[in-house]
Amino acid sequence: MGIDPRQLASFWDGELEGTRAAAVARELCTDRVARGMLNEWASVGKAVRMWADAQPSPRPEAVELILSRIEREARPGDCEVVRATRGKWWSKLGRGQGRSTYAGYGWPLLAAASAFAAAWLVVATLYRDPPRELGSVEPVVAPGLAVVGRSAVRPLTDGGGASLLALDSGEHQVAVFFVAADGGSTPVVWLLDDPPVRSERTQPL
Amino acid sequence: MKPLVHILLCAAIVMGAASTLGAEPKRPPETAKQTQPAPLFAEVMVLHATNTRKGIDPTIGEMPELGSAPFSAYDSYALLEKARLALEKQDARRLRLPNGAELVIHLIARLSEDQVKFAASVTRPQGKEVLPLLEVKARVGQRFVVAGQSFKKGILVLVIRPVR
Repeated sequence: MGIDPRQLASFWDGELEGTRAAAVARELCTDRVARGMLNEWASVGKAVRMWADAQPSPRPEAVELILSRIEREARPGDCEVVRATRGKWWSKLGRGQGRSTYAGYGWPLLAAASAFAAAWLVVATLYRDPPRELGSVEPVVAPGLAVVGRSAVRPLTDGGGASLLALDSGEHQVAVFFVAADGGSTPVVWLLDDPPVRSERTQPL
Repeated sequence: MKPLVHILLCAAIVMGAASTLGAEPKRPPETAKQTQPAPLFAEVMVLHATNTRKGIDPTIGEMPELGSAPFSAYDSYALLEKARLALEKQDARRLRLPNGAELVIHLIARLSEDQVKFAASVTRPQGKEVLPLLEVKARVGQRFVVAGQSFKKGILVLVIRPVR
C-alpha cells in the first residue's frame, strides 16, 4: 500500500484539507489495498450504527442528570472557590467575615461538636457492658448453642434432662449446648480453646 | 388477809415453775439412718474421641449423643476408663484423667431420692484450672458431658451421670 495508513485514516476522518486530500484521493484510484481498507472501515461503521440504532435509548431525564453532573464537576469556577477558602477557614472563625459559608458559625459549631462528643463519652461510659459476675450473665444462645467466656450462666435446661445450674470456665472459652438423647437432652460443656499438650495437635471439629 | 394472798401467790408461782420443769421431755429426734436415702454415685466414663476409623467402642453402651454434632465429627470413640465416685457432701472425690488433669466431684445437696445437685471441676497439674466450676442438677441416669480437652490427636469426652 502506497498511502500511509495514518494519512489514510485522517483522509477518512475528513481531517485532510486541500492539496493533501486531493493527493490521497488520486492515490486511492490506483491503490486497491487502500480502497479495501476504506471499504472495510465503512462496513464496520455501518454495522455499529445499525447496532446503536437497535439499542433502547436512555431516558431523557437520566441523560440530563448525568450531563448536569458532568458540567458541575467540570466547572472551573467552583475549583477556584474551593481553593480560595481552603486554608482560610480558621481565620474566619468567630469573625463572620469572608465569603465562606461557615462565616459567623465557627465557634458555635465547634462548641456543639465538643458538647456532643462529651455527651457521647458519658453515655458510652455509663452504659457500657457491666463486668460479668457469677450467676448474672445471660449466655449468647445461637440455635441451641451458648458460648460463654469467663463467666457463669443462668440455669440452662432443655426440659428433659440434667440441668446446668452454674458454670465458671475460668480463662477458657466454652460452648454450652444440648444434644438430643433418650427421653430428653444431654447438656454438654465443650472446651473451645484447650491447647494441645506438647507436640500433639488438636483435632478440628 | 394479806399473808393468805402472799401464800396463794407463792403457791401459784411454785406450781407454774414445777409444771414447766416437769414437762414431758421432748421426743428424741429420729435417727438419720431411719430416713437417709440410699447413697448415690457419680459414674464417670472417660472416652477418647479420634478420627482413626475404629468406630464406637461397644463397651460404652447406648449413647445416641455420639452420633450427633459435634460428636459426630469424630468417627472413633474408645472407652479409656469407667469409674464410680461416691457422691458425698463432706468429701470430694477425685479421678485422675489420662491427660494428667484431675476431675473433682462433690455432692452439694440431695434433692430427693433420685435427684442430686453436685459440682464438678477439672484441674491441670500445677493447679491450672481447666474448668473451675460446673454445677449440675440431675436425676439418676441423666448424664451430662464435659468435652474438648486435647489428648493424643483427639479429645477427651467425660460422660458423667448419677447412678445408684
